[in-house]
Order: sequence, then structure tokens, then C-alpha cells
Amino acid sequence: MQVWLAGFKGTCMIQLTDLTYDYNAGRDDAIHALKGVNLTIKPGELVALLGHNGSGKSTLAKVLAAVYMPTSGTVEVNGITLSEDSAYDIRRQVGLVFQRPDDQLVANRVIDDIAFGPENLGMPREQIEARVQEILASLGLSALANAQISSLSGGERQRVAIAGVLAMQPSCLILDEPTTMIAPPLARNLLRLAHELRANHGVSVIHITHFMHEVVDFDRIIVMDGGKVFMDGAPQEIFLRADELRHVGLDVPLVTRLGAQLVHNGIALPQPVLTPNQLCDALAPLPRQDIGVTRPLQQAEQPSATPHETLITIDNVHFTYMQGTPMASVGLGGATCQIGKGEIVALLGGTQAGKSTLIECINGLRKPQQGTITIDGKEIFAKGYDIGALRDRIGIVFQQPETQLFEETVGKDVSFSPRRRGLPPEQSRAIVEECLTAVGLDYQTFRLRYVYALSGGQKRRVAIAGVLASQPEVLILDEPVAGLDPRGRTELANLIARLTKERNLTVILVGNTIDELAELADRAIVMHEGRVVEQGTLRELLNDADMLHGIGLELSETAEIARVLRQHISDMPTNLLHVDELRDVIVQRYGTPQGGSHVA
Amino acid sequence: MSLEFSRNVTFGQYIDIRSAVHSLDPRTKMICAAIIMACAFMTRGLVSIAPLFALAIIVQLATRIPIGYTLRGYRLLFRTMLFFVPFQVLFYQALPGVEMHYYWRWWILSVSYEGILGGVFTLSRVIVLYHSINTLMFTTTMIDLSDGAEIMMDPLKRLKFPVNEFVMTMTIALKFVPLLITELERLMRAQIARGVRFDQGSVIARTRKLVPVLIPLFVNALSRAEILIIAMNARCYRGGEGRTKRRTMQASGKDVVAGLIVLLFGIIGAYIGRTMGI
Repeated sequence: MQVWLAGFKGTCMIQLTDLTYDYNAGRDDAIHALKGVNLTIKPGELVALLGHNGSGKSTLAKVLAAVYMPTSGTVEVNGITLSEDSAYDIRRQVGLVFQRPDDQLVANRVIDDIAFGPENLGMPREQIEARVQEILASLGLSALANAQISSLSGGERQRVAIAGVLAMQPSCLILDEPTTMIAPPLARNLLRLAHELRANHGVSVIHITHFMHEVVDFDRIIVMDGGKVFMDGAPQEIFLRADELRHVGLDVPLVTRLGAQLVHNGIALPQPVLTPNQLCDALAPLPRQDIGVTRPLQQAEQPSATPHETLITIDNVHFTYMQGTPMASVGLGGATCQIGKGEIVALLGGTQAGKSTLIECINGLRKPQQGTITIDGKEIFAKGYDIGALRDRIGIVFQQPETQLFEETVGKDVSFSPRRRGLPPEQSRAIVEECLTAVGLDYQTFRLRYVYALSGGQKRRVAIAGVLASQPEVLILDEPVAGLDPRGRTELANLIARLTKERNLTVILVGNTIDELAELADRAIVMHEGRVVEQGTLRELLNDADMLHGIGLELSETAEIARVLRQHISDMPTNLLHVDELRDVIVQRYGTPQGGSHVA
Repeated sequence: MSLEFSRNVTFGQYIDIRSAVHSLDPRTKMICAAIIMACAFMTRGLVSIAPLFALAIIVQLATRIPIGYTLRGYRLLFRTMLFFVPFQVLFYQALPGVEMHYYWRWWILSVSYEGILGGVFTLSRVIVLYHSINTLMFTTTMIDLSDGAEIMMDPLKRLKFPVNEFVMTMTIALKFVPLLITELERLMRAQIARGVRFDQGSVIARTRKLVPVLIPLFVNALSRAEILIIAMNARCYRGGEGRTKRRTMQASGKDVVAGLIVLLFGIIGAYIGRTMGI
């Protein structure tokens, strides 16, 4: 795929002077989102805009795209100063891509949505048609031109959303956290597209993100904090200042941190190391010690030999969505696996692997057309089985559970299940207190708080507490950290780690990445195309990192670095879980005796 | 409960297959649906509705949509009618000059041959009406419908009616339908997983159980709408003025043929109904 739009050349010069923006400007409850931003963005620049939630980066994007008017200061795009009258002219130049494609798609069909922008510009019909066809072909969407947008996958929808913006041939493209909600392979495609647009058409790109590894090859990184520009420079420069980044809730890419540790261990590497490939290239010429056979890492932590008593048996389960309609699609195609009592299982797989469908079947929310599910030896879809009681035993925290809260206050929402079960008030109160404490929210402080006044991360905790309050035996968490910023992710992952340890629960952690959550699991079940394809401990699975990568499962950053290194260092193990292990393995091979003091 | 509304709610769904009906100009289809409805109102009995019923069957076959799928959409309609038709039969009033054949009679209630015929006639009429709208939706994309509506409403522009804005509002509202259905399914699944039984309890109890679903549904829909406004602005939307269209509409010979067929069946039905009253 190579984006090529004939004759299109974007030149966009953006100049911000003392820019401020207040929400509810002039009122008592005004929020000062931008507090004096001065910036120049040159034509064809590839800029990353970083910052934790509330730093003002999204507001900045909306002012740049001329959908918000500055409270004071000026925005100048190609010599046009932003005002109510000139907003339309600036919008023609600056395209904005939103976090969720559904937010910006207007029409029902692909082709009509892409035409929406050019139609608004009042272009002649033939010209619109030519432009739409060009974009469709360029983004590989021609086959979907007449498809209904509601029938597309998330990745396809995002491509349509971008196509709709590109059809207006903007000379500057702003991507407002587009990679937060989508699977990593799609995020990579999107970034490749951004690079191509710059290279082929001179389009400036401003990419807003939480993920550091996405922006290491950008021209420039701007870090926002508290409504101001906190850092501004090339990645090589910004990622040397790890302490300052951590100060504002960000971090350097993992490979950069690893590089710094290796230097500390006496390995001569240029600083900073920004990609696994750079690390590989830097290590290649260094003298290498022949250490013979690698120390088998898994020996120390073989999974406990005590087998779990089987709790849930899933046998050859088939499920087809919209069966019997022209829109039928297969969700599960014969899934088989077992889950033990008290076991912590990671259910992993790429998009469309069937993970979510499977957990909905386990809870009796969807009835398989074929196959059986038994819990405690009882078939759950058999006649006379009390499915209500089953649902009390299995708690599911769905994806983005914060969007499912419905009560006014935190206390009421969490107490929903105890109240439904008719427990006496004192007992219900005790459960709520215990569950809120378990998710790290103080009972007295949060009990009467309004749900809609909480932050995204807090809402998610409340949702988890709500599920815990039904006192389940089995807790299923479907991508619990997806869509949060790095700080929120780490906090929630720690919380879940604590919950799984402290409570005697059977836990199923659903995800698409071998991350810190998956590492909590005793065992991982890997799904692909509606079936279980692999099972084992994470280390066992990571031995074949290429296979996992091949079926669309995201490796942890550590495993990914190891996988890249193995392409040059043939005896490099990939079954590594922690970056420290990776550091030790590299130090063993490349460290000098003096510098190797860290290695036991 | 399977919780696949989109599987059971077929109304308003476009079925993406190619058929003779699909390829007609949306304006033709809208006018035809209007003709069928107007004629259905002029029918007076089972004889006069028969041509329209036959037309519905012909149209159904021409759309190539599986009959089972179409019928699934009638479930709710049948259930509603099952409730209303008995009333109509029981309270049937004799027409002047018509002799009634009673099977059973008590106070003002009765079951008569004429009453049952009347009930069947009402049901047929509702089916004909529903089928015409349903087929229009099954075979025409939303954008076609709204483009067609925009052109047909063109004269209203002279009265300063904001036709484009109105049509755009309708289009977006309809775009939200599948999104809201998906969202509703998601929220209900979450509630069921928390132990709520939507299929148990009295009508009031069941309705109350919907509150936890409807509140987040509306909150999420409102915030989505707000973002959509920003997105449309960012894509240079500023109403119908100065806006052009990629799509054009071209009626052809087959539209004329389709229109004539519908008109023929419709007029026969309406004529019988008007002149003979049967």
C-alpha cells in the first residue's frame, strides 16, 4: 500500500502565539486548558504531541483544527489568522482524525462518507468522484466502496475515517490519539500512512499519543504539561531526559531504558537507543563472549505441579453471529479448553479471535449452536439449569466498563448487586466498603461522589468494584487496561495483580498483548479464528515468539526486543518476561568482567 | 435470551443484495410505496385488497430477500395485531343494509362471519402497508432515501424550509440506529451478567429494569452527538449552502415499468374498493 494522490502537494505553516484556551471562558467554573502556547510547525514536519490526560494536548488539536476558537493569542495557518470568519478556510487546510472512527463518520456507506468533505467544499461532481476513487484505491478500500459502515471492522472504519479526511487534501493532518483504542497492528499501519503522507506529499502530521515507541522516528516531539509546552525537541534529545518525562507521568521507550541500563553495566552503546533494531545494530560490532548454552531461565519458576481441579470445561463450542440472516458471521469455530478452580488464566488472541464471544458463552449470555460448556460438571445450557445462579458465580468486567455505570453515586452503583440480592443494608454496606477499598477507592470519600464527576480511571475502578460486589467465584476481565494512558494502565494493572493474589478467585484475563497482566497468569490460552490454538505457561509460549507474532498477538516490549535481537544473535532466548532478564542475558554475552557486577 | 436485537429487529435494515428492486431509483420506490399506501386506504374489503396483496408477493419475490427473514420482522406486528384484531371482531358493527351472520352474541359484543372477515381485512391492510415501507427500507440505502427525499422536497426550499439540514439530520439520526442497537446490546449484556433478569417480573418491574440500561445509553449517545458536531465542523460542513453532491439520480425505463405495475395493481384495488365497497 502506497498512498499517492496525483498532483497533491501540501504546504502548511502553523504559528501559535501566546495561545490560551478556557473551557467555560469568562465564567466562575472556567478551566484553563491552554495557558500560553508558542509554537511554530513547519511544512512537512512530523510532530508527536505527548502529555498525560489533562495536559491540554487534545484541546490544542481542536484549536489547530479550527473547531475551537482561542480565548486569547493567535493561531496562524499559512498566513490566515484564525477567527470565526476564517475558520472554514483553516479547516480546509487542517484535517482532524478522531480517537474513535465512529465519532466522525457521518454517512452510512463508505463511499458517501469519503465524499462528505469534498461535497462540503462545493467541488464539482466529476472532481469529487475522481478524488473519492483515488482515495479508495490508495487506501485499499475500493472493494468496500459500497459497504455499509456499520458492517465494517474497527480497523476498516478507521481507514474510512482517514480516507474521509484525506479526500479534502489537507496540508496538515492532526491525529488525535487514534492509536489508543485500536489493536497495535492497526496502529502501526496508521503510523506508516502518516510517514508516507509526509514523504510523498509534504503533509505536516501532528500525532497525539501516549505511546512512546510510536514516535521514536518522528522529526520532533512536543511534550505538554499543565496547558503549556514542557519539552520540545528531536526524539534523540527528548528521550535522553528520562527523569523529566517521568516527572510529567510519561516515560522513555522500554528499549531506551534497557539501553541506559546496559551502558550502566559497561556495554558501550550510543545513547539513546530508540528502537530494537538500533540496539541490534549497536550490539553487532561489539566483542561477544561465548557463554555456551544459555541458562535455562524457566527452571526457577516452573508452574506449581499441583493440578487444579477442573471448574469450567468448554468442549467444541461453535457460535455464529446473526445466524439465519444474510449477515451471519462465525465467532467461534470449535473452541475447546478447560479452566481450573482457583486458576489464573490469560485468554489471549488478536482481534476477531473469538475471546469475547467465548466469555459471553461461559456466562450463558450467548448460547452456542454446537458444543457444550460445563461448570462443576453440569452442562449450563441443559434444561432446568439455573443460569441466574451461574451469573452470580461468574462476574464479568466488560471492555470499557466505565461506560456502563448508571447510578447517580458511586455507593449506589457498587451496591446494585447486594441490593438486587436483597441483602440487609448493613451487610450490603459492608460489601460496598470492602469492594471500594479493594479497588483502591476510599469508602467515605467516594461513597457519595457523583459517578459522572469521576475521571475515566476512577470510573473503571468503580465498575470493577460493582462486579466484585456480586461476590463472584470467577472473575473475568475483558481487556481491563485498554484505552487508558500509561499511568492509568500501570495503576490498574497493579490493582488487578493485588486482587488476583488477595482474593481466592478463579480469574480469566482477556487480552491481545502479552503484557504485565498476562504475566500474572498461571497459564495462557491462545485463541485464533474462533479456536484454541495453544496453551501453556507464558514462557513456554514465548519460546515460539514468531508464531505468536504471526497470529496477531502482541508481544510484550521485552519479548519483542528479544525477538528482533534473535534475528542477529541466534542463541538469544525469547522466553523472557521482564526487561531485567533481557538485560542480564545481554550482559552475559556482551558485558565486560568489570562492568558485569550486576550479574549474579 | 440471545440478545441479538439486530438479528430480530429487521425493520429499517438495508439488505445488501442486488435485485431488480434494489436497482430502482429511490424516488420511484418512494412514490410506489406512497401509491400502495394511498390505494390500501381506498380498499374496502378482502376483494379490493387482494390485488395489493398479490403485488406485495410479487415485490417480495423480486427483492430476492429470503421470505423467512422478512417474516421475522413481522413478529412484533403479528403480536400487536393479535391483541387488536379480536377487539375489532368483538365490537364489529353491522354496515347498513348488510345482513349479519352471528355465531355468538352478548350485549354489544359479538362474533360474526362479517366481523371475522373485517378482522382479516384489517390485518391484510396492515400487512400491505407495513410491507411497502419495509421493502423500501430493505432495498434502499439510507443515503438513497435521504437524497431522494431531498430532491422531492425541493419545492419546500422556496418556502425557506431548510431541506438540506433536515435531510442531514434524518441521515445522521438513522446512522445512529445501528450504533445504538449495538450499544444497547452491550449494556444489557453487562446488566444480565450482573444478575438482572429482563425476562422476569411484572411489566412495571421489567420497565424499571431498563433504567440502568437507558441512562448510560442516552448519556453515551449525547456525548457522541457532541463529538460528531465537532467532527462535521472539522470536515467543513456548514449546511446546504454551497454544498455539492457526488451522487446524481437518473430514472430509467425500468423505473417507468415498475411505476406502471404498481399503479395498475393499486388502481384495480382502489377501484374495486371505491365502486363496489368489497
